This record gives sequence, structure tokens and C-alpha cells, in this order.
Amino acid sequence: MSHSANFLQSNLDCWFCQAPIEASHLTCPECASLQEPAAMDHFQRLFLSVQYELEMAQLERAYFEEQAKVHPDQFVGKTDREKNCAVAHSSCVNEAYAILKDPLKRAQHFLAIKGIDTTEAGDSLRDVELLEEMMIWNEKVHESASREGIDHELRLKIEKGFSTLSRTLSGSDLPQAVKIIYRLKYYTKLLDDFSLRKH
Amino acid sequence: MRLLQIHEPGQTPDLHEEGRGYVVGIDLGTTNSVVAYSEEQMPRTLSSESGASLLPSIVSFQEDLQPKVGEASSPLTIRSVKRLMGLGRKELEQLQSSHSFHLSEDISEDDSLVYLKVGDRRVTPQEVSAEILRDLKKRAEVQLEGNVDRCVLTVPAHFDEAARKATKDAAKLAGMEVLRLINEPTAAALAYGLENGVEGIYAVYDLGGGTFDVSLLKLQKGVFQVLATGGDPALGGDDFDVFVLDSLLELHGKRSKDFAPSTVSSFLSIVRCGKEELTSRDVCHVSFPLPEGEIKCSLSRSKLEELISDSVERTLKICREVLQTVSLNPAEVQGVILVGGSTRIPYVQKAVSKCFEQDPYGNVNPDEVVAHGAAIQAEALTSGAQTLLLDVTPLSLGVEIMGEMVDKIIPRNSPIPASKSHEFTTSQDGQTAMAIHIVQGEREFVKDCRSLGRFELRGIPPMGAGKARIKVQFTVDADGLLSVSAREETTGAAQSIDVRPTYGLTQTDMEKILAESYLNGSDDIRSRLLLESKIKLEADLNVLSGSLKTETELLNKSEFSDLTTLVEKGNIVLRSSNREEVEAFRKLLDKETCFYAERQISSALKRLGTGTKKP
Repeated sequence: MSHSANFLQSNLDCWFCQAPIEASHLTCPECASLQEPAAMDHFQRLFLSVQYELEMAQLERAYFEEQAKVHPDQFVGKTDREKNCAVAHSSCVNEAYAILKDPLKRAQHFLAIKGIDTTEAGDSLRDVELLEEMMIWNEKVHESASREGIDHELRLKIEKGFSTLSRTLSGSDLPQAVKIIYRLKYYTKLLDDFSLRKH
Repeated sequence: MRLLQIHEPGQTPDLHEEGRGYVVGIDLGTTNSVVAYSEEQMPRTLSSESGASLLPSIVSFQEDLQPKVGEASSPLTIRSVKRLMGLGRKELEQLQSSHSFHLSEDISEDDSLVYLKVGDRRVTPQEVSAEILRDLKKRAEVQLEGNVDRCVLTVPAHFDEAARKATKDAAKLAGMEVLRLINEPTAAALAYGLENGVEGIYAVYDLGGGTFDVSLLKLQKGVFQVLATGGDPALGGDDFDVFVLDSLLELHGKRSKDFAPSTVSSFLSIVRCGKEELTSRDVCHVSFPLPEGEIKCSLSRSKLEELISDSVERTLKICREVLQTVSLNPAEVQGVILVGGSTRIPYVQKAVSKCFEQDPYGNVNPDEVVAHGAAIQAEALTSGAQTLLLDVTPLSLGVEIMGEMVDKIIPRNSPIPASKSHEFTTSQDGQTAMAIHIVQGEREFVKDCRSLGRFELRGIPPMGAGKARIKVQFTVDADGLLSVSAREETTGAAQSIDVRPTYGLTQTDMEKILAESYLNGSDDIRSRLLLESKIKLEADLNVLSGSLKTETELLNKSEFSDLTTLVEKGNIVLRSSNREEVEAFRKLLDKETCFYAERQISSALKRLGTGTKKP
């Protein structure tokens, strides 16, 4: 939760009128001033339920709805403090959207909420199977004559990986999900590097 | 004054709101500038008294150094000043048209800024731009029959931090508050999208006099979301003119570098007229007046196309990159909107059609659509925004790490506002300060990026090497401008940050320029400042005398009579025509009423039942 922790609030009283406020409230119920963003996960930030499966149209709708409330354009005539709150809020909403939009980052965030950190590569290095796969693929990418073929094969592999990931996460097999995430991390990186070299 | 801070929100957040003037949208262009005003989402261009909608971005200094905007009426004429905005001397060398500017040589070693030479003075590009803005402001005030004090200003999407700041400073010098900087292609999409009620993914191809931008936007009901943007802040019609001029002079065994900057500048405007003629004709004739006789040349459309083909190809390459960034095929783009005078060139239109596999829209006025978008946004910001404008940052922001490499913190095309934190630690035992270098750009090495500033973190609690955890928060606001704050995490101690901008004007520079107001020649700035000070003092006095009536119980007798005398004195000072005197009295008032303000705050807090004063 390193992303939202940046904005951890030291108290939950309104900065303006000192009225007590619940963390989930954007504005003060007494004086309507926009508050500093409270620490919360990205699903909460966009008022979405914490689950991996997410319709992109639903995410986008939630994103626009939240931005419409907190974007700095809505606070032009206000005090500097409130304007700063709007910038901080709007940044959090942008960050939440960016993470949830990306299926891999969303999965990692989902696991982080469950207390599993997948940001360090350490564990993946003990996965002998993955290491073998990586060696084979590195050779393939290096030596293959058919660039289009490799590109297509990689994309298929990633696509398949994501559908397995989705099944695993809804089935709550978290250790298996972690394994798949490390694979997907590797393959998407490989595809990125590959497309970059192509251009 | 402190007393003001305890007002309820919404009651008096702004001293001037009642008597506030109009808010306009301004497109400060390289070649032409436009001011527009919008009511009920219907934008219109505010023309000059003679009916001209475009104001040529030309400033001529007369013999007495008085500026005249919009025409080349003296040998001391500055064109295309926008190209110099935010530039350092290093960047200037890469500018094609650099030798058409009369630059000041009077610069010291540590001076990284570019100055223009006007008579015996050095003038910043900000001040020259301010003259253009002042003229637009006047034009708007005549049309609207009222005061214009705020604006939404457009900038090329690819303007960097320094150029954005410089543009904002120019508006300040012209006596306008900038409510928002918006990117030119975004403004164009806003005006076009609202007028035509379109939805889907649109590309804006904006090739102006000095800059090129391409933005991809997703338009849907009330939301204008920029998906990605690309561009080149130093590519535009001006460069085409330079290519043409050089090629024509070469035929006569001459080079533009042999001529004085003012001569080059006037040659370039002759070339521009020829180039514009070629939009509808196959060949044109131009002649350059010289003391030894005229040089007459003819220029064909095919020659022009040959000369600009590399530049146009560069813009297409950027278009393809932007499409790739968001994984889109040209066919998925619903429509292409052309903006900027250089898109009138048939060759450019053909190239864009080919790149996006479709004909661009022909029903857009490429000169005015940007100002119209700015005006719509100006209206939205002041009367409650119904539209949501979500833009991105065009350039990556990073810090210098070991080996003069760049560590990117906020990558380009991130939606703004964006806020990211980065943790730093100390490398020596007991270290209490460290320097951080912030850069902007896409390259891996510091030397290839633009230096934005060096920040010094001080007051780090002495600890073992690597123990301190200093979290630095980088925030890019909705204008695309950066701010930085820092905190030591283990102790929670806030750090003081010294910002030393590599480019741009410091607050002191701004004040100096305002005070000198030499470009003005009149004292309208001085009188405006005086008026502002007086308005502030008057408001302060009103608050104080109000409090003296309602919160008398917080004062003893002698305090009450002291403060009452102070109000009387203040009302006399209000008649002064000396700003220093007014300001000095405001300071005195602040000092003398500080204790009263504190008592009021704590009494207000007690009434709220918390009893403690929050920091």
C-alpha cells in the first residue's frame, strides 16, 4: 500500500473547522471543505468492491465520477489549502485508475491488500520451472528468424496467463496466483523489450 | 492579514470576487495571438477596433523605446518571441531561427537566461510576451466594456516546465491572473468537440509557427480525456521559412548569417508571405531589398515541399509513436483535427491524411479554435465546470542518480495532477543536508535532459549513513507545473527546501521588472499595484472594525482604544498615493492585531467545543 500511504492523515478532523470526519468522506459535513485524501486502497478510492474481476467500462465510469468531484478545476476560486487538497485527491484518483486499469498491476495490488508482496523478484528466482522457461524463451527471442511469429506466440501466452490468473484469484488460490504473476511479469517485459527492438 | 483566515468558507474566500472583471481565453501564438470570450459555451473571438481577429505576435520598439504591438514599424522589431520562452543559452544554439533575434551580449557567466537587446536595455522574452498580452487585454476590455483581470492561457503541449512558467509570468507582468494553463491541442479538441457534439477517439495535429504537437483524446459526454501526446517544441512554420530563405539566398551566393538580425527577420516575413501564396498557387515571386539592389527570386510549390519534407516526416514519426503508445491503429481514430497556420500547406494536409488513413476535418478555423477552447475553459472554471478536462504531462520528470543517470519519477503521458514520492537516504554518518537535481526529458543521461533545478534538503537529523529515510514528494499540478516537498520519515521532521531554478525568473526578478515597468513607459503598473494594496488594506480595516464591534469582550480597555485609533489612522492612509506607505501600514496592522487574531481563533475553537488549537 505504498501508494496511498504517502497521504496518510495524522488526524481525522476537518482542517478548516475541526469537525470530526469519517475517513471515507471527501468533504467536511459541517463546512463542505475538501479534505486531504485519507489512506485507502485503490479499489476503495474509486468506490469499487475489492475483487480482481473488473469491467473496464465500470472502472472508467468510476474514475470520471471521482475526478468530477475532486479535480482542481472545480476549486479555482478556493483557498490555497483546499486547492492543494484537490491536487492531492485528484493525483490519488489518477494513480488508482492507472493501477486498476493494468491487469498485472491490479493483480499485484489485490494481493498486496491480502498481505502478499509481489514487488520483489526474490521469490521468482527460486521457481526452477520459471527459470527454465526464461532460458528457453531468451534463446528463442534471440535466434528466431520469424519476428511476427514470436510476437504472436508471446501475446497468446500472456493472454492465456491472464485468464488463468483471473480464475486462480477468484478461486482464492493465492500462492498459485503469485506464481502466475511472476510469469506474466517476465513475459510482458519480454514482449515490451521485443516490440521496442522491432521499432 | 491573519484576521481574514477565520472566515467561513465561501463567505469571503476572495477579496475581489464582487468587483471582478471578465475572464478570457488567450492563445499566445508564435505568429499570431487571439483572445476570445465565452458565454454559455458559445465562444467568440474578440477583434480589434478595426475588426482584425488575429493580432500578429510582433513587438516593435520605437525610437523612445515605447513598444508597439502587432506591426513591424521600426528597425527594432521582435517577431516569434514565443520561441525564446523558457529557453536557456544552451537550447538557443539548436534553434534554426536563432540568428533572426537580436540577443543581448550583456550576460554574466552564471546567467543561463536569454535576453533580447532593445536599445541599451536587456529585455526578457517574458516582458516582450507581456506586451502582446497587454494589447490583447486592452482589446478584450474595449469589446467587453469592462475590466479583464484573469485568463486561461494556452501553451504548446510540449512546452517544458521553464517555458510554462515563463508564459505564466508574462501574464502576471501584463496584469492578469492565470486561472489555468491548458495545452493547445486539448483546447482545440474542447472547442471542436463541444461545438460538434462528437464522441470517440480524436487526433489533434497542431503545427504552428514555432511548435508541433499531436494529441490523442477520448471524447465522450462531458469528458475530454487526453490519452497521449507527442511533439517537438522547436518545429514549425518558422523553420520552413528559414529553410526557404537559406535556399533562395544560396542561389545568389549569400547566407542569412551575413545579415543583421533585423534584416534576417524582415527577410523571413517576406518569405512567409510567399509561402502563404503557395497554398493556392504553384509558384510565387519574392524580392529582398538590399542596399546594392533587389534580389529577385521565384519559388515553386514543389521546391517548398522538397525543403520541408524532412520536417513533415518528423511530425509523422511522432504521430506514429503516439498511436503506438496507446496501442491504437490509425483506423481506430474517429477524426483528425488540424490546428495551426502551417496545416494550411497542402503538402502537410496530404501527409497527415496518409498517416491517419483519412482526410482531416475541413470545418475548423485553425487560427481561432485554440483561443475558443481556452475561452470555454475560462467560463467553466469561473461558473462551475460541467466538462471534465483530463490532461497528461508531456515529458518525464526525474532525478539525477549515481553516474549522472536519470531515474524517472513521473513518466510522460501520466494523467495530471500527478504526485509521486521518492525515498532518498544519506551516504555519510551524521549527514544533515543533501542536494537533489531535478531534470525533465526522455533520455537516460542528465546531460541530454533539461535541468529544472537543484534542491537542497537541509535539517536532516544526524544519523548513521543510510539510516535516514527522506521522502521527497514530487507533484505536477493541473497546469503541468512542478512542486516539491520533503520529510524525514523516521523522525517525521519536515525538511526545508531551497529551490534554485535553473531557468526562469525568480520572485525577486519579477518584482524588479514590475517595479521598473520600463517597457510600459507609463506608470499603469504602479497605479495598479497601489490600487491592489489599498483594496487589501481596506478589506483588512473592514474586518478589524467589524471585529471591534462584535468581539469586544476579548480586549481590555486600553487594547480596544489602541485598535480603534489604528482603524482611524488606517482610513487616513487609504488616501495616500504612496504604495510603500500603504504596505508599511498593512504590515504594522498585521503586527499590532496579531494577538487579537489569536484570541479570536482560540475563542472560536472553544465555541466549537474542541478547545485546542490545531497547528
